[in-house]
Amino acid sequence: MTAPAAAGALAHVCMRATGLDLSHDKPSARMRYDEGTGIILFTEGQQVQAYSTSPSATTQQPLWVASPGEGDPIASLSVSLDGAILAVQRGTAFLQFVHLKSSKLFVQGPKSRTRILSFFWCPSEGCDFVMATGQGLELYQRLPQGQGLRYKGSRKHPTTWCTYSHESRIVLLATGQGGLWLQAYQVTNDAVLKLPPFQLGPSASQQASPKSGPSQRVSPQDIRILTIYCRIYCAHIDHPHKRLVLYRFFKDAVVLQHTYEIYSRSIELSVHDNVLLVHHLDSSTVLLLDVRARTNGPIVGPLPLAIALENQDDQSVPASIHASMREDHLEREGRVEVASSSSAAASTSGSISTASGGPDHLDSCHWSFQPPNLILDTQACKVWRCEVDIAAVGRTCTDWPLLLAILQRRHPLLHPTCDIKALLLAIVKGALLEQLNMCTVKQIFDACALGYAEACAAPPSPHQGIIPSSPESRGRALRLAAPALAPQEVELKVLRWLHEEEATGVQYLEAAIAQYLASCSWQGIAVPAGLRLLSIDVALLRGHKHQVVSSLHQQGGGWDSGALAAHLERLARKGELAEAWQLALDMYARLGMHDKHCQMLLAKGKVVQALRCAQEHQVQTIAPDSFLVKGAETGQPLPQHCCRHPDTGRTSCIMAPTEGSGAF
Amino acid sequence: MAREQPPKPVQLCVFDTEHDYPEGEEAQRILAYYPPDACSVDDQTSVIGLAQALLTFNANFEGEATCDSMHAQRHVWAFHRPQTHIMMLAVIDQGWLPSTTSDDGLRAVLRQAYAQFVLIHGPLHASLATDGQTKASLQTILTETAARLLRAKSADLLTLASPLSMVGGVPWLPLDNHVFTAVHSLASQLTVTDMGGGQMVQGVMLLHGHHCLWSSQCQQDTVSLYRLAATALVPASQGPSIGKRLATATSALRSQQAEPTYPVMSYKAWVRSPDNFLSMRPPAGSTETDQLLVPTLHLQGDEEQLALLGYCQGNALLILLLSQRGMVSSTTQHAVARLAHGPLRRISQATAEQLTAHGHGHVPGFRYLFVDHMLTAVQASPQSKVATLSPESLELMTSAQAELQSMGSSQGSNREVVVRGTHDCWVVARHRNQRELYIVMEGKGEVGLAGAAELATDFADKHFAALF
Repeated sequence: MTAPAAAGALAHVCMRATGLDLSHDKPSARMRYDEGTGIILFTEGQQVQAYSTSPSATTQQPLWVASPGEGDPIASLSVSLDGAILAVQRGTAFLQFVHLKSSKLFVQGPKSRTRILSFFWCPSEGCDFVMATGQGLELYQRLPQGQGLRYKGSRKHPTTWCTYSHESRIVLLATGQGGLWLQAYQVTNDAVLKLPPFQLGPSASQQASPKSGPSQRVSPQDIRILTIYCRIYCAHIDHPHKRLVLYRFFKDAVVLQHTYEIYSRSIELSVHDNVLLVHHLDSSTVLLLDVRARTNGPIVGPLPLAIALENQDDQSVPASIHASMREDHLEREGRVEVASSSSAAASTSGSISTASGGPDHLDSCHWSFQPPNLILDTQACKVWRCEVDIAAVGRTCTDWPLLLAILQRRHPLLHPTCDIKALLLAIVKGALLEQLNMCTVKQIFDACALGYAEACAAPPSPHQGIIPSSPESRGRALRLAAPALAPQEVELKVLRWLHEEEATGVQYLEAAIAQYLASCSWQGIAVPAGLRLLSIDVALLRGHKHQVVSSLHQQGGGWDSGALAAHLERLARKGELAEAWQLALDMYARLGMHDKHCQMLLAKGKVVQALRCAQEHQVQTIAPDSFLVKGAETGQPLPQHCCRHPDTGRTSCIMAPTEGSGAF
Repeated sequence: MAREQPPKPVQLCVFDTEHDYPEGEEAQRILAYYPPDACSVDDQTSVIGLAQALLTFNANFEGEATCDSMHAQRHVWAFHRPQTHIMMLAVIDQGWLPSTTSDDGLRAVLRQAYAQFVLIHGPLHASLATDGQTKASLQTILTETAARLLRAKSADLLTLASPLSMVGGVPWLPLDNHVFTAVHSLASQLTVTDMGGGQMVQGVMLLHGHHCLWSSQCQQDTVSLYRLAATALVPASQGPSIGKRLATATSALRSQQAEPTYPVMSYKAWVRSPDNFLSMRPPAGSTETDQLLVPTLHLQGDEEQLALLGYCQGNALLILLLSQRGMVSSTTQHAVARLAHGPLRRISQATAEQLTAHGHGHVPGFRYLFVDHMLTAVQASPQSKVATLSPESLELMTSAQAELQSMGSSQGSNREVVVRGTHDCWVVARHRNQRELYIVMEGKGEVGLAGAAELATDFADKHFAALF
């Protein structure tokens, strides 16, 4: 049983009330969630009421009320995606369809005249409605006036049970006694695609192991279809082996990609901001998993759920968790420890575990987990959303490189109260201030660079795998203002800050800058010129003059920038690096900044060279008399005629001395 | 009576020019002489006497007793004064010396020998005052230098004779940014990590084959260290050929004598451990130990004395300068291997890929040499390609080089020589701001003077942008 912790206690996942609270109105109503339209349906007797779960809907008024006639108790409901028609299942032979505006009714049974296993509305062109029967999928289209359905074809597949995810438009059909053979179809905008068949087990695409006896039986309660980072997974909660296995769907294969340990006999899954939340109902804790983390363990230690603070008052706490609110902290913390050891011990130490474990005990505590992150309290008639408190994760996670990588992948709009970028900066700065081992620093910088490169890159291309086709999923795929640290920020807010504050040893800072440059280069990220300037300054502080000169030589023109050339010129003028004078000249020449080049030559007293440069590249920014003045100062023989052209303003000389260009 | 040996074509010596020795005791002036036994002390003193006389004579004109080189009928004499009151001299048989050898090249050989001495033993004047072994060490250096030149198919002699290579330059390899940052990152990571027991890495040099990728040392130390690495550590890291290994095994069987001890700058003194560390071969009869014996180097004009340890992966050779001298513990070895193993292997691979992609610096139709005096850097066509040039082209190149250098600084900082031989070969030599570029173009006789200069300009723009 999930027992949220009191507000103020540390928790990584909090429950936020959606504002839908019908606890006073609907004590005996049956509560359902319609994934396709995102509305809550209450059935009381033969009446159906619909309520919106969107945050903008503040009123507690139903969207509509329908009475789909008399008959057997309503077994299942589904609203068409345009909200016009309600499909009602009372038995297994046929479905009732109710026009919500006109209350007109029509009836449709499967063409194959077999039991209806499941049904759902979908937005495909030429296919609005799908019925799953024991013989496969039957596709239907609404008639123009909406007065019936037209049969559009079928996908034959012997089916034991079926599950559908509206988010990814994947319908999963299980075959055989154990339901181990799985076949997925994806309903895209213009077709129903057959994905490769697979089987639950170590090698998803190979034949069944001989041991697939009754113990290997898979029920639809053990299977979830998840969409994480625009990838579609089939999650299998494997109770016998105490593990959660994720199979990823590709266009041409289904591959076992992740195996995580689980510690409870009853598990529920939610996804918030691409973090997989594994609710361990026995021990009242939540494990946080990131499928893109480099470890195969949870991101942070398991902690109980909490209630979001802003809604903290007695009214908003679900009835079923009142008891747990009174528990003291010690007991809760005790549960945290137990949660990671064994599920059996956890359930005994638990708070109000009156309901014995088992797959059906969710009913006893009236919670229903709906994708992606909804919790329906069917007794209190309330709807909650699970949200990851990323700031709390930041406080408890001790693996800094991992934490940094995870924070970078979070969507800032989903964590409005947390400044992810500030957290990222604090991690990087903290790691360097603590003078962590360079290997750890390297991991942190690698994660930084990877995050930034991904934030800059386009969304994944379709050939990598199947992509959710629904518009809301695609919207989620777009990374608006990703919280990755740009090289400019790392330079200014971390490295340059450390340099100016002299917060770390010069040697350590030099190594850190080198690590960051390597990480950026590894990801092909362009580095701001300022970072190279800093790198050179720090190397010079350590007295590695030759290293700087040889590095610039080895780079050819790779590091060229006006800023760096100007910096070298400054260094030369200050006498900190004698070779910088020539290096700056080379760089100006390569960059085509001839006026700077010319000015530098003139400042150095190389009047003839400066004049040649001015003439060759038509430099107009230097007044002709400055050549003459400088020439007189240095006593160099100047060309006889040096003048400014009256129209063009160009400096030109009639005869410049030729410099030792001879042939023999 | 011993049979008279044919005179060696190479004579090298180091002598003291400070003190005046009375007649009959001039031999005391000699600090080291090669060949040590083949010529008598009288012969040695007569050579030194002539050299001394030349210097004194020259002082009448130059104001100081100095001389660069002298061409006699049968010998070339090259001088180098490494420090005040010390003179190095090479007397080379003209008949033996390839005609394309420059006097500057010979002087560079002397300069290098002295630099090696300083690197291993510290500056000569300090060493003479304190160490009784100095003369013997100096003798070892001269013997090793001469032996390297006199060896059959001597690479040193080839370098010396080829006008398209520079003795004493460091072939810095321009690196792609991702390789360079990986090198920089590895080098800096090594210097901030405790290698166990307070052992710290004070300096890092990284080579790939004969290319230099990184050096944290000053210019002078980089040149000396590169030379030591190229002559001793790189061959040792590549290991002996099968034939050599067989020969060693059979000779070891044949004679039970203890192996002779080799000087630090000989590759035979170095051994590669199974863990890819390069260290000194332990003296015969020493007990087995997991510690590594490493030499001490005198750096920064003897201000720093650091231990030298090599570590290799593929063609990459990492040279570490360690703060604690003496033996290198196994803890330090593990720390180095843990940190450097992966990155060094990747650097080696990436560099090899880069070299292959760029044809190892070969530009078809051109043979070139780029010298950066500011950095003591050289960059040249692969020597295998230079070897395809005709002797006439090499002669032409040598004379163009001499001409360019003789133009001297009187002509300003920009100088250029374009010359065509009688065999359709153009040589373009350019000097700009402490940098030189030599280009030999065979089979392009028809392009004319302007065409050759244009070809050279295009080449320079493409490969040495904005430098020439």
